[in-house]
Amino acid sequence: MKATTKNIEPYDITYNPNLDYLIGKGLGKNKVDAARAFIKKHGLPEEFMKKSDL
Amino acid sequence: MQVEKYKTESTVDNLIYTFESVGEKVIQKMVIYTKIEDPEEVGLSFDSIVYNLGFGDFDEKAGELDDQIISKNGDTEKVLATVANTVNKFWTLYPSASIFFMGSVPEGEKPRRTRLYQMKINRYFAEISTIVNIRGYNGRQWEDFKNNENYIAFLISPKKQLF
Repeated sequence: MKATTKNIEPYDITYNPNLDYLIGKGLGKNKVDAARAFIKKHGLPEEFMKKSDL
Repeated sequence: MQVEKYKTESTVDNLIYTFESVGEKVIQKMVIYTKIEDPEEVGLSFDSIVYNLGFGDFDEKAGELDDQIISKNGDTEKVLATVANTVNKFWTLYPSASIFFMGSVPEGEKPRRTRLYQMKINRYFAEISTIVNIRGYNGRQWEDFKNNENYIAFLISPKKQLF
């Protein structure tokens, strides 16, 4: 995957339009499923939880 | 943080990043931020904005991210500094979002990656904590990150408006 457009930006991170095809491919879905399962089981800090639960 | 980083490429939405880890091997790495949709479904306030940070080796042929592999490419510090750098970039577009992450644990193995994350947070805590709120889940509850405490998951959010 080689960038076709190089813009100098802070953070040394450049936009590569060739990567955009990856969007919507479901990449990382199993990771977010694991995160959702964790959050469902253990929750997050109080300020994130449902207001009715506070 | 004055640690060397790899040059990184991103999608237009700042949600997917790739870079090459160059050590004994050349490995395509990928960082993916995925929104936790429907926060109420998992018990969160409807207005919570939380993204999961997924990180691992990208298998281009399979089109998948392998977050369980231990690369042992001799550049851990540089790789993690590069991942941390994507957080800054991510927050330029999503300044109100919190980022959730935990290390993958291959079945039957110890949570080495989580410990590695923790060690690095410990090491740079003084610097990181000036700009980022860090919480850790210790198996019982979420709390402000403390050095020398063991955590199984982490949550970070910008401490102040960064941009």
